[in-house]
Amino acid sequence: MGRTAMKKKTIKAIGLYTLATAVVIAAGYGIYGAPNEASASADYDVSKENTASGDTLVSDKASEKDVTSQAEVGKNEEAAVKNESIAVGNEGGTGKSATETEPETLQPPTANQDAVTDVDEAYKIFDNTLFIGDSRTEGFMYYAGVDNANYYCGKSMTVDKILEGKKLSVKGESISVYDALAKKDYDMIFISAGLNELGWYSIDSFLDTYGRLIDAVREKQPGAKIYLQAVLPVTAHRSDRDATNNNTQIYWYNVNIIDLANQKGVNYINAAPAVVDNEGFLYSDSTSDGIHLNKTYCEKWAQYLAAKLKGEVE
Amino acid sequence: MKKYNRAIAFFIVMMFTAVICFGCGQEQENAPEPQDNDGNDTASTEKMTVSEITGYVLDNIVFQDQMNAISTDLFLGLYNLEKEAVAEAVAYESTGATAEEFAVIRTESSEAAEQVKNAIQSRVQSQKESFENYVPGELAKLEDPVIFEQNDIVVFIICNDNKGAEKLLEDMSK
Repeated sequence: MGRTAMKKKTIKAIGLYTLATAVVIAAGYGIYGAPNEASASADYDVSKENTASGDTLVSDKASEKDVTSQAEVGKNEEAAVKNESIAVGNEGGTGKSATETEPETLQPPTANQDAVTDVDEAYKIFDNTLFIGDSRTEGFMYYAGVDNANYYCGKSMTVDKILEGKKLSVKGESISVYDALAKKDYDMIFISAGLNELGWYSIDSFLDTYGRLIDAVREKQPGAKIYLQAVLPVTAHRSDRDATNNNTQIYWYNVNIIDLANQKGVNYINAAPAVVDNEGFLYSDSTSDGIHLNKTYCEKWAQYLAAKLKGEVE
Repeated sequence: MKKYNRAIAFFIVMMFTAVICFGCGQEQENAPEPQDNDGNDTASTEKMTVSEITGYVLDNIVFQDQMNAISTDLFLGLYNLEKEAVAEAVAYESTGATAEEFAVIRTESSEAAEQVKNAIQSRVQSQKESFENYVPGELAKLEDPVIFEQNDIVVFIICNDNKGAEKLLEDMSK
């Protein structure tokens, strides 16, 4: 065999060996997966979106927070105007002056909201804040990410139960509203009431009790700014079918809560623009029962409140 | 020149041999876990993590409401648990429309596991009181909560079909 023939044979052998090796490697990857992909071959997909958002003792909580959803709040401009027009229309009839207690103007959020890129930073405004309320406030506590605030809230809470000192299990503690008020000196106190009172026989009874609750809160926390939150609307589907929890009734209650805020010299704040569609109903994807907000919309609610308090929305 | 060609050929052969050996090494790492003395696969349950069980629950158990994770601090507060008792935990809550919730908790010790199970019972009682005059229809779900223990992990589930959920967890652990 000549030198050239030997050389060709050697090159051919190397080529075949290389080809065979490549086939073996490719087959191996096909069967076993690439290195570090072993866990991906499990029977179920643990990378499912809501699993990924799960907070564990070892997770980075900040990464869960949707800081980009702020811009979407702006979609609700028309609904905001509609809500406000109802509130202002009635308030105008009472002849109230423009004071600190004047109803919130429900204008669309401005571009400034987009500047809020760090949710924890945005929620610093809720340091020394107490949220008092019902199941919706409980959802807010679960999902909004406002973990620096204090809460007194629970399902089926009404102003009379709060006022009489009903104890609730909140974050492992059984406390009354008075216990919550005694914890520290708050800068702001938000009260959300009215949803569970929509079916009360008399709205006067609700307003009288709510007024006494405001007095009690102010007595315990004279330095705190008190905000009465509007009762947030329900979905169109719910509103059409529920004789009690419907938007007509909710607007009627909000009109009266605005009056109460004015009478008591406290603030009224309405986060509806963050969570309603252009007809003033809760977005259908915001809730499973037409009333209680899911995580995404609780975050929008909190973002709106924070932006409102900082003057980033009118 | 001939020596040079041979050296190149030798180098290429060695390189591919090394690649094959490396691949086999990885393959070995990914090989199934060993079986026990009875020939049963011991890998499925003992190696399951909190994250994997959470994924299993989310993929296999139907919840009526939208479920979202809550923060760890909030979970510890709601369940009145000391941080020291819990090595790792994931908890999901419903929006408030239903009594549905679930938690997957890896405990630090058997004593801690007992602590966790007692905390779950207290949580169930608290939820019963909450829903009693609110959505009484949810009380049935709270009557037979799923409290499933597997190694150092406790799984707690409230859903529409608690018995079905328990069966699924049992299947998972087989």
